[in-house]
Amino acid sequence: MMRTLPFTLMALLSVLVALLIGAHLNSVGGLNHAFASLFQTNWQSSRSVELSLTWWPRLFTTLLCGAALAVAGVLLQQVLRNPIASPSTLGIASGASFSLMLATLYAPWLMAFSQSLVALTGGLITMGLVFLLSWRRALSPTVVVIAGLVLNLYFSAFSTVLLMLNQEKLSGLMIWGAGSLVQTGWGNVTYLWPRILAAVLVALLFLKPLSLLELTESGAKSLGVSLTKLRFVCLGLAVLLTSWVVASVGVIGFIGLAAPAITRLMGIRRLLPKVIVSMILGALLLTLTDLLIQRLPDTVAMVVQTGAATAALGAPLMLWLLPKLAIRHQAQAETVLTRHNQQIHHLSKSAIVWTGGALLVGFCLFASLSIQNHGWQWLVFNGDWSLLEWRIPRLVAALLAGIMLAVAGTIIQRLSGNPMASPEVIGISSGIAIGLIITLYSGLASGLVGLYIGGLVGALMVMGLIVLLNHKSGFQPERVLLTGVAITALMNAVQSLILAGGDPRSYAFLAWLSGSTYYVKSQTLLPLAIATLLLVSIGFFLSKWLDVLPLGQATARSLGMNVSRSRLLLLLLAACLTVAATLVVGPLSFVGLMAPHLARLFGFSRARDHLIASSLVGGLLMLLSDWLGRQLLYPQEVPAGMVASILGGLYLMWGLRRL
Amino acid sequence: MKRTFSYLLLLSITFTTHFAVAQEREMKVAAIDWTQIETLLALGVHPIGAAQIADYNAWVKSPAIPSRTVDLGLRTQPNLERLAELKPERIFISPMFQSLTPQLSRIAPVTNIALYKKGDVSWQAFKTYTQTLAKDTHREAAANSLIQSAQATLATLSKQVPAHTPPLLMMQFMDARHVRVFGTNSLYGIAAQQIGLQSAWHRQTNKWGFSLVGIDKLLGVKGQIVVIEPLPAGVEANLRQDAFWQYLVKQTGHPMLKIPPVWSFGAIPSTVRFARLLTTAIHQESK
Repeated sequence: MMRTLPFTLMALLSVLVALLIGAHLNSVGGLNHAFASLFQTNWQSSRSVELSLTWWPRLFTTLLCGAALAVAGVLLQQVLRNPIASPSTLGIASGASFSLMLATLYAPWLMAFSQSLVALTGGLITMGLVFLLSWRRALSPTVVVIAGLVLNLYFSAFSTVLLMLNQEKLSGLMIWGAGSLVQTGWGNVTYLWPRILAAVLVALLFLKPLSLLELTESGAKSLGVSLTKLRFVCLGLAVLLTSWVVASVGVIGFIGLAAPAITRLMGIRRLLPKVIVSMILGALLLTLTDLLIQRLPDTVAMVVQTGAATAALGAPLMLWLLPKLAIRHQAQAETVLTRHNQQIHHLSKSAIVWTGGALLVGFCLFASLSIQNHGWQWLVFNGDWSLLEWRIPRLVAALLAGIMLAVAGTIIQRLSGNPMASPEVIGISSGIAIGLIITLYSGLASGLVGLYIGGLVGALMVMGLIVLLNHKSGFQPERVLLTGVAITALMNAVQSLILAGGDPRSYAFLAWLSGSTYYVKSQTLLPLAIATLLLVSIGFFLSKWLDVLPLGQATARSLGMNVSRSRLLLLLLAACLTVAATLVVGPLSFVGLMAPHLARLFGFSRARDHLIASSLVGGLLMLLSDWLGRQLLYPQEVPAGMVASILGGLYLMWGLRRL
Repeated sequence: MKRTFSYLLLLSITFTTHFAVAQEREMKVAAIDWTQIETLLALGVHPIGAAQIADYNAWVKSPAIPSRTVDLGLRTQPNLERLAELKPERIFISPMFQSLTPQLSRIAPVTNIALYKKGDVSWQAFKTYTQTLAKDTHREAAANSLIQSAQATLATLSKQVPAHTPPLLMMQFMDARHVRVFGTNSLYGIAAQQIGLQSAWHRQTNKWGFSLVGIDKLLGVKGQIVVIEPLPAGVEANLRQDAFWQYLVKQTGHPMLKIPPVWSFGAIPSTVRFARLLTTAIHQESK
């Protein structure tokens, strides 16, 4: 049965695509005429012009892009031995998008010169940075993925700031960011096909050593494969393929992840059929989506671009596939987490007192020192104490949110044994954002309370989804992560759809999304403080589990633990922490990822010490970020979440390089 | 009271223009929404604080914000501390920034005035909007004279427009392959209508009066193409070598018109400005 499934699926997709193509061609004046237009433009007939300069090029561009992204996905997943690696995971798309933004704002002549060159350069530089950060570890899969993730977050943070400051100028780029396949000539096709063909041929040359990677790393090494060279070539090919596609049509989500995943699911093990089937699947999936979108009525088509639609359609598909996906337990022996065990530090009481003191002094300084209407002012001198009414709630909220996100992140990272896990990554934050978008756009509520409730409902639904999809596997870390990736993809898709539609309301949403303490009032502080105290103490109460669980299921069980139940409880706690923090400072403050990481880099690896250190780091980071954000571009405010990810990202990159 | 009275007396003696109708000292207002800022300025109210002034001057352009107006930062998150320091008496927002109300109302009373609503944008709506803003700033007389002079200008312009002018396909480029086409419910549409011209775009538009479409969707629409600047970087060069775009312009049977930047979501001032620029462009082309 497994043998016939791939062919059935591909046949089904092909028939659907063929039907849609036939229906369209028939409706515009018959097949003969349509095929004639493919080869020659009849300038006398506007139908023929439309077909030959827009419709046919669009079809071929779509097929090419789908195939290219699928090959890039297969290469990445194979070489990184990671089922969730994809062109977007590694930051290539966001690097390209960031470079386009920079060029639009600061060097428009570059955009006039060649837009695709700018995007390509951005993608290549991003990948270069990923290589640079992971070079010392011989491009080890885990480090490459983490480096990609960090750069991804970094560029998204910067892009969001630029977008907030320049929404009018950048509105065109939003369409590109949602991946529109509209064509007005054969330029993209002639640009893409020779390049993609060459890249695929080179990839085929490396198939044999690549398939050896299926074995363990040492196995591949003993067979005489130069791992570094192999990884370099294959990652490079994947970047080129992705950048070409991104440069010519924009960001197309999910094909690079979904096509190889479906292929794997169909039980295809050998690499050559895997590449070919993925290519066909990728091409068909993208084309099918695009053909369907072209048939949408005008009002809907206006806001739905293909790239974002594939992501939106692909995410539920991915969620449905998840329980069926056989994930080999990855050996976590190599992860960053365990590498620091050589230098365990213990927290002494005096260190905690000192850090706490620093936090207090910092708080007072941040509350009193700031740029005002007439330049830098210190409240002690000018006596304008009424301004504290605005500053203190924001600083307190930032501090509390930082602590909660840090604790949530620590729990999730220890639980999954995965240093790239965090509330943002497992999708809770995205769930909140989706809930918020729906509340805002359906007109259910525009007030603050309504938005909060919407966000809460979103978070709970995502948590339900995580539990539903993962309880059978006992909350296996990789599966939980995959769920998060799918939900995040869905959120990104919804977000780019909204931004591409050009609705001016979307910028109010963007402002919230970027994680600002702007909307905090003194009334919201008390519930927040209670929530922090309660949830964080539960976290410390459960810290014993956090020591045992990373040792592995067998060890945990032999110590008399119910592994599934404790995982579920900890996950629930992390979710509650995230909801409480996110409702105040927005979903994109990457503190939950960075604070535990930084605490690790300092060498605190026992659960209790780890929790304390990371919450101190998280609190301080958010405090500093909130203050800096209000000074940097005064009177414009850069949201605290953005500043935190820009600051922390730098440090994280430095830490990665040192690994 | 006495001082105010004498000041008023002095005012009414000194000024014979419409400034004379200011019944009291200028209100200290702050405004977030650019449409409200342009209308306030046209009414002779100088806000003490306005959001994103540099961007306003780049996109709305006219009437320019005076240099003594303080920049409040982003429209989505105006700087609360700066606003509190300025101590305005009233803050104007539009429904787009409704979520700011709880914060802003701690500083001053917030007035929320809507203009762009689905199926509700018309010349009449512009007039009502102007009058509402005028009422809240005690500038009713200024509003009447603004509306009257605008209508007079539009009437003059409509006489200058050649009778054989075709319907207009008014658009703004987002990138080389996507445009916002403005139709019903849009400022450009109203401006054209007021000088006796038609919009060629009859498909449904959103509440801001535009449809976002790929330029392939413009094929077959009969009307003169009017492109409102600014064109994004690189688009001009791209269009020059795009055979499809050339064909598109050719099949309309009319040359393409280019209009300098006008704020697409404005009110009366932008409408008049657009109508004037449009008339000039049509004239130059027909010469």
